Amino acid sequence: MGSKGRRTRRTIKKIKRASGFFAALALLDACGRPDPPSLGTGGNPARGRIALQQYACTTCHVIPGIVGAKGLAGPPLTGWANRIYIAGLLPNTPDDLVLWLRDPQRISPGTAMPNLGVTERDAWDMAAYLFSLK
Amino acid sequence: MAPSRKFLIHAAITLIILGGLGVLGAAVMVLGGVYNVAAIYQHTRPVYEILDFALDRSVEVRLDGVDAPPLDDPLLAERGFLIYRDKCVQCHGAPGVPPDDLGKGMLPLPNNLAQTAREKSAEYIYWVVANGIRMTGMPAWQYRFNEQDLWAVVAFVERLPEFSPKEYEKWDRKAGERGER
Repeated sequence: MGSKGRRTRRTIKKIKRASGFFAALALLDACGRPDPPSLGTGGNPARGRIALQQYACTTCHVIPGIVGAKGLAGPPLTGWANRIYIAGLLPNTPDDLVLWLRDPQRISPGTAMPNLGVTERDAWDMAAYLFSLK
Repeated sequence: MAPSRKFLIHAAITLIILGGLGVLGAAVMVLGGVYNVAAIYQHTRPVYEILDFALDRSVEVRLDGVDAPPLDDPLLAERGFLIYRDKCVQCHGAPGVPPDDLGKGMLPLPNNLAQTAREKSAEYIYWVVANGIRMTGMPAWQYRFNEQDLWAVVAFVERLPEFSPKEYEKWDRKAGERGER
């Protein structure tokens, strides 16, 4: 998973660049506080909400706030901001969520969730929407 | 004038006014292009729920006389798989297989058929495959495939919930090796 580590570090750098001081503060904050950290994703949640439909996420997941998102093939994404793990494998942070959304088959080979060709920008926007779900 | 007659006249005038306002409102909605038809914007929740329910009822009441033949023949499911791979997977995807871009960009989004197989009867699925659903992007297949092939697709879809992504990939590989491209 060496390349994953590198990518994670790269994406963390990107969040820091995107939302600078605030994101770094939020990451530090995650260590000491019991309440879920409000991690800055730098994404646009309104765009992400549409992207979650445009990548057919709603076909397999129940997603609060999206009309018709009633899929039961995958887990419901309710209360996403309070989830601890992604697919039971990755700690649920925006940067790891972006890694997962872009390439689930690399993180969990053989998972029923296919690679949907999600672009980096769209993944950040989706993450922004999902992390708005408390 | 008798009071009941007066009431009837008032009721008639009220109905005419309300009807007129309704027509006027509809005209404003249509001519003003108020309702957004873009495929990136879902219907409002009440419109979506009513359409979804109406669609379901519309199919349900038309299933009289549709009777599924025995679908447990493995050869039938295999025949159905080849058609599925050819004609269905682009929009509906398969276990571990994403839909193509044209499927992802549609609204309503094509269903995950493993879930459909759990929720609907074989007759229901047959009806939708044969007749299509107007304005959803679901084509009618009855002028493209004969009766037996339509049921073959249904037989395969019925088995979808049993497929792991690995199993589906294996079927796909085996068909490819047999040259069934």
